[in-house]
Amino acid sequence: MKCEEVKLNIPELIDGKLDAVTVAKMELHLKSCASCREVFNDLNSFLKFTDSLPEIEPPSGMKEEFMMMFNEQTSSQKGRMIILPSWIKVAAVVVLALGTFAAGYFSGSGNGQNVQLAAEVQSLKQQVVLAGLKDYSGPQKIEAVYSAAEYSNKNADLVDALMYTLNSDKNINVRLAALNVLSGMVSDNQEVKSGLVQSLLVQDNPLVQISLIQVLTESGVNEAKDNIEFIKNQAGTDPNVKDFAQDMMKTII
Amino acid sequence: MKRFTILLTVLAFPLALLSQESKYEYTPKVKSRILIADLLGEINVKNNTGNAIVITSDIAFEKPERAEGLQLLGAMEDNTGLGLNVSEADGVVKIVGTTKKVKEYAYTISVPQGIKLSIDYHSPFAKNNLKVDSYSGSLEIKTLSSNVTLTNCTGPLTVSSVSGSIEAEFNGLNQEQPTSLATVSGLVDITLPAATKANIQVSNITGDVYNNLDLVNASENEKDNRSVGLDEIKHRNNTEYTLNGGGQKLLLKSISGNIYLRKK
Repeated sequence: MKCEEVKLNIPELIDGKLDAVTVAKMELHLKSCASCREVFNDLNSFLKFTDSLPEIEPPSGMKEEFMMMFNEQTSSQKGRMIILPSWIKVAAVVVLALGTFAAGYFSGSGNGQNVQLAAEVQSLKQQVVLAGLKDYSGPQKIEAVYSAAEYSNKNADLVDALMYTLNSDKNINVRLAALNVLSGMVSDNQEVKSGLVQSLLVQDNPLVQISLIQVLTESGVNEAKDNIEFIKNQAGTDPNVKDFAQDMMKTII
Repeated sequence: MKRFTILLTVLAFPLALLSQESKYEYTPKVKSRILIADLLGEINVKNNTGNAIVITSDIAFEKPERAEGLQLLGAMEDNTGLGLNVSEADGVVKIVGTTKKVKEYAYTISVPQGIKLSIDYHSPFAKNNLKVDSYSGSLEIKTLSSNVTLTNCTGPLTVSSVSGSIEAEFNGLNQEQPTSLATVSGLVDITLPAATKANIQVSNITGDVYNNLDLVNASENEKDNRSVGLDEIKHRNNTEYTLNGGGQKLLLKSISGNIYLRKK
């Protein structure tokens, strides 16, 4: 087993998600490779350390994370898939955290510094939480979308991130999940309302188009009328969408 | 009798050749993710307990005589002998059809456990159906008109289709990540073990929903004065139910097809 493969699978080894054969191979490699063993020990001890910290709200940087997911997907469309395994980010966090913790510990810092240190550790914990979200599979992204909606205070960054997911994600089920969460905000958030109206012009999948038309018409968003009409009259629109748009137009006054 | 045996042998030999399967194995350097694209033949997917991706096919494709000395324009190299190109870069193994003729053949792809798998079957030329049996890893499927049948699965899954139907028989429901099945005009038919814990969101517009699971309505519906003391039994367009106290999300959507929820 090569170092690259071992390092990539270390988080899964710690989480106990690997099959017995791979575990045996990795353990064999770790015994003989000091570099990989060091990464394993650092990550293992840091994850135990962060697990002892209290639970926190997902951070305000959710938008950037969604953007990063999208950028990686866009780059894959150009024939080059960039995988940033979570361990790279976690490993960087390990270095930062251990450095910060050691600095605070050995300097005999006062209360003010301790508070600052605690805040920094909290921030690092947030990064670790995000590292856990960065695994790119559809189900994981859906989980991230619902988690963000559940724990966040529905600020503008979250709306932007969800809107970005709705308009950009390659996985249709992920787009539907984002729409589902946004549909709960449409009645009291003007930004969501206008974002969904604009989204009608971006979507090309019949499932998303119909779901979007349904959300907008059932929520009584009259401003959507022109864009629904546009989709209905577009030459390449799926017949199911045209029929649905035709029916739902009747509900818009 | 001897004459009959010879005749049988002569007849059986070409038949045996016709049904002969070709096989290709590839062991990924990194067990991370597999992407199958432009493979429009019949695809059957399952897990294996080894470390290699094993592909078998009944392919019997031969280049036309006129193409002697010529290469397929713009196509990737067939490095498997099965009309496929298998490559690996940055933790992703890509399995791609190298000729449009692959749609006439059947492929069985056996994947090591724990690898995430994405199948892009979203092509108007994909006339076959996808079958996935006993697959326990994360799976993403996108089709246009092809049906997807999943047996002995646990998820997490995302399946989307325009006119294809989605049938999924679960052994249990993965509780770490959600499963989402969505189609425009196809049906969605799921079978779950009775003891499964889930939050099931059922979304439809013109189709009907049939069920024999012990679902409890979890949606917050505003009641008017007349409905005090009464249970709401009408299924709305987008309703969330809990099963056995709730669990991971199972998102089911069909715009115009029926949705069936069955107890295993």
